[in-house]
Amino acid sequence: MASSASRFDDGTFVGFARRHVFVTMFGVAVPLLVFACFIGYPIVYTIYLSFFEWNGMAPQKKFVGLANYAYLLHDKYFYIALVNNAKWLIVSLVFPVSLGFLIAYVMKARLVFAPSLLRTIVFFPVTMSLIAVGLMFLLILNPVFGAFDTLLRSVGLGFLVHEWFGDYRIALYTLAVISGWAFTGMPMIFYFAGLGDVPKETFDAARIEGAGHWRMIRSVALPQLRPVTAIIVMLTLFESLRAFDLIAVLTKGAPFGMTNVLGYLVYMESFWNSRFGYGAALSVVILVIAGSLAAVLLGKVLKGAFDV
Amino acid sequence: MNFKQNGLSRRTFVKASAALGATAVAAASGVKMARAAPAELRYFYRAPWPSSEVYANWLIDEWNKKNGDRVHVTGASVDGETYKTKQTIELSSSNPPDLFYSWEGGRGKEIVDNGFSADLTPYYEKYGWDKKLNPAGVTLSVYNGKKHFVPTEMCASVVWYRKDIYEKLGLKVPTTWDELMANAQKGKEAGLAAFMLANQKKWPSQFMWSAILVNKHGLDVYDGLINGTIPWTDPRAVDVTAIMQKLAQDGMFEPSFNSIDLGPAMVPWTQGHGLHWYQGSFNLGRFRGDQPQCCVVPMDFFPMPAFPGKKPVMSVFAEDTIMIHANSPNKDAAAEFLDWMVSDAAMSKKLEIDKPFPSNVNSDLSRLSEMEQRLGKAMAESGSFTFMHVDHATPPAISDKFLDGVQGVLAGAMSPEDAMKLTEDEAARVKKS
Repeated sequence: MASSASRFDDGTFVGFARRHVFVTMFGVAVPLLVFACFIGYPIVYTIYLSFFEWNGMAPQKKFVGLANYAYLLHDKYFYIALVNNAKWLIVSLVFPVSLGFLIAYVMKARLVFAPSLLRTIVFFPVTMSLIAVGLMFLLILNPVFGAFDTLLRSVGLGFLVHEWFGDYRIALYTLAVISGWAFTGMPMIFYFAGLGDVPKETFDAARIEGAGHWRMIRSVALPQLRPVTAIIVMLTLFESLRAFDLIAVLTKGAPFGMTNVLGYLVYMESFWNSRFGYGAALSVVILVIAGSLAAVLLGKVLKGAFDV
Repeated sequence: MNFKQNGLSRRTFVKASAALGATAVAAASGVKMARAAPAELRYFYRAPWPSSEVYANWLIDEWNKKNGDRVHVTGASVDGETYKTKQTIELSSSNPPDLFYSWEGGRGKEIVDNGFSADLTPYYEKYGWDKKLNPAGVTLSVYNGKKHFVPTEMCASVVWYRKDIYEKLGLKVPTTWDELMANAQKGKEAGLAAFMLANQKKWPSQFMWSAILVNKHGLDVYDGLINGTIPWTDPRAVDVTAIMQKLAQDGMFEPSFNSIDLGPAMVPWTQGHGLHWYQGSFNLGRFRGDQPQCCVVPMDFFPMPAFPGKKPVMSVFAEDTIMIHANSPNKDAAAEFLDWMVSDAAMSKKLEIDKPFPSNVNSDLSRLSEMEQRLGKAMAESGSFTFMHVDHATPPAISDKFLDGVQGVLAGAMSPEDAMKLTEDEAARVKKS
């Protein structure tokens, strides 16, 4: 046995596979096959489809080369959606991520009463379907009988009342804030867990040195939580690029396409306007943008964040 | 085993076993001997209202009760908003539905052009649908000289108005555009929304746009825009968009009209905050509310009034239309089911469960309110097809841009020229492709 083991122990994958057949089969081959079928093939097919014009009904697809990409470069709706995705990302990074961190910190520092209850309340929306969240806010922010406007008026803040979904200048931010409300629990729970891993002595030492909460957040907590922040930023990035549900429920891109984001534009072009080739081209662009942003974030902004 | 002890003789056991075996074999293979399996029809439909679902279930259940042993129907529905996206997938699948809902106009043409719709002309002749269906609906069903769908619900777009407020303000039903505007102005001065729009989903404003264009510039101009022989940047299309823009700028629509959908807009309407509402008769379901007869508030209708020197045209169109899939192996059975759908009995039941108006002109409208009966009669007598609003008439890609443009104009974020250019650019792209 010893001789056969050494025969396969040549440092190559083949050698490893021969020695660990079970692990190779179920730990490598099967996951790779599943990935290839359910992730790899759709990606490759989407790229292939992006070179065609197809309405989803005709048996034949018409090869158009790079025409879909050329059209995309001049498509006003694409740029609106792209900018909206960027705005959505910024709002998501500022609002739910920051708020999630602050809530986690005040809970860990026991600055609030009943932190467990607060944690449950903040995390609860994460468990809700975004469709349900959307329908709920559709009623809350309704300009005719919505509770939010009524509340604002009743406390003398009627001047703040807006057409939350109808005013093209603020509709997207309304959506992003609703999304943030539903998402805050996610960074909160990550940060809460991360803060638990920060040695208590570090905080104690900082406190003895006279550091206040702001200083401890800036100089102790955030540097120690860099890997967590990296994960949360990546999650937020992908969540922002995938934004779809709330737009589908609340605005459908209205008013006049000003709340379109890339994910919804893909849906509209593919399934509503029957332009599957163009929808595929948009999907490829989303893939490239997501990949590039992830590379930049991990390679530059969050370099070394995972080296723990 | 001791059979005697259990009170069961060996002979009885053998006989019972043989009988059981024979029954099992008969059950497995003999059913066919007794009766052929029924033809299975799949009916894929759009259910935009809760009552649509109830009515469709009634249609299917009643059919299956009477004919289920011969032709069995199974229904599958999708809500109004997502039907269009699901339809493409269903129709091109390897096991498509035998019958399916399809829009008229541009969307219907896409389906016909892609070969999914069977030619129903022979069935029109066989069942005499020409004679009993609304002529406008029959005209709309024709693509390339062949009839491709059966209309099951007809609609008309009219100006709904609050009768009680008209009386209170001493207004008369207008017969010209100028009179309508004068009434609207008086309504506005009384603190009302002269016109309800409820344009959150951007399609409601097109009804008024289409009606103004047809009544001011003529049906031939509208047809030209739809058919692509007149560009959307034509000054007449821009002019109508500018009229809509002016109405918005003058505060003739309800506050926050781009944020309110049709359902919530019923609140200010029933509370008496709106004077007019130009919209399709499919809204009668909302106007009726929970009452057996329309309406929850005193209201009536009049057609979009005439512009100087023009004869007014009322928009009559098919709201629900059913096609038979070209690949259905049971086309005859599907046509039989369609004939049941437009039968006098089924259409009269539609008025009881669902909303008006049935496409069968012989349907008993006596169940409806006097106002609805009057409108139903006007629709039946309107002759052949008049015009469809833009998102029925054109392919979705074009209407989507058109609706965005008009909504942008109403919001004050786009000029009428830019809105029409946006539409024309898309129409040109579609034409080219």
